[in-house]
Amino acid sequence: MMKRVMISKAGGVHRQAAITLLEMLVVIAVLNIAFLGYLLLADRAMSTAAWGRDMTLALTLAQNELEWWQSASAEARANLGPGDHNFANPTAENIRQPFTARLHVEPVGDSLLLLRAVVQREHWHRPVQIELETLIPREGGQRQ
Amino acid sequence: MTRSAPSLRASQRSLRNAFTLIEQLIVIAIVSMLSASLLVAFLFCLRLEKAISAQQTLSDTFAELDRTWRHDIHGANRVSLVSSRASDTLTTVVLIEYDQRDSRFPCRYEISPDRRGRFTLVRAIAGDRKTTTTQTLARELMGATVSLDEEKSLYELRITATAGFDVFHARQDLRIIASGKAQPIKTIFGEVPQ
Repeated sequence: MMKRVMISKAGGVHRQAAITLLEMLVVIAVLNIAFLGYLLLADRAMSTAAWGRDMTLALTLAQNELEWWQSASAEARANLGPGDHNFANPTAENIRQPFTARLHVEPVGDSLLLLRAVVQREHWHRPVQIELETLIPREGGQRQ
Repeated sequence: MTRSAPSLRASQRSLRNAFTLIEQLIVIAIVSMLSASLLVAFLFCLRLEKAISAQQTLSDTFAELDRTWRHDIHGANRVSLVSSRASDTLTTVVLIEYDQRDSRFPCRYEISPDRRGRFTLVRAIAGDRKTTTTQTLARELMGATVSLDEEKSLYELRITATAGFDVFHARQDLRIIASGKAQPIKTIFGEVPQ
């Protein structure tokens, strides 16, 4: 602890063992910086936890869509043209902003379709993006 | 009017003591505020840790449920959706029963309530000599439903959970659909009130 030296008009020198206001301000500044660092860490931890949860949800949504098309009828598959489509499975009603989900369809040869389910979410921490692919027969009924 | 030297020194000492008192009051006030801030930060830290743990637990639970449900339905040979609408919330309800490749060891998903009105989802596998292995899949659920789209042979598990508290205390629905090769024995779905 710093000792303050006081010189009185009488010429005496007094040493006072007290914290000066300047020292107190320094302590407050250090504590504030530490508190700010803690808040930043807390924000990062919360963001990471929320990001992990969103990744899990996005993965489930994408897998649901692929499962749906694995069990789809031959007629539905035949009507599935190349390009981007909205999700068709009943759990897609849970998809709302800021989630976006698209099904990309691409023909492979004459008899197969490549389905790519993409679920994204803009995240303030880091974006969530899941892409899952599967091959299904273009016609011929349900998966055996 | 002039003051004597002892009187001047006494006056200066008194003035110095007054400043010291003000400084002490300021210091006490600042220390009090700092202590209060540290206490608030500590309490916030505890709550935050609880919220983050709840979020991570929920994520792990969802991932495990997703994996297990799809694995079980894909590998099931015969599935029986049990008619078990739960009116008594103190009884364990079987949601679904199915046979694996070895039909001697049927599995079932059952849900049991606790005293707080929450549910625990358990996967039970019958073993040899009537022993049953149970695996707790999820705790603290608000509800669970199993349903079947007979036309597409899609089995859906829907659970409702809450995670965290306060601002994080949001209901979270998870719907997992899995295409099953097995035809259902019964077409009645089991449901626990949400």
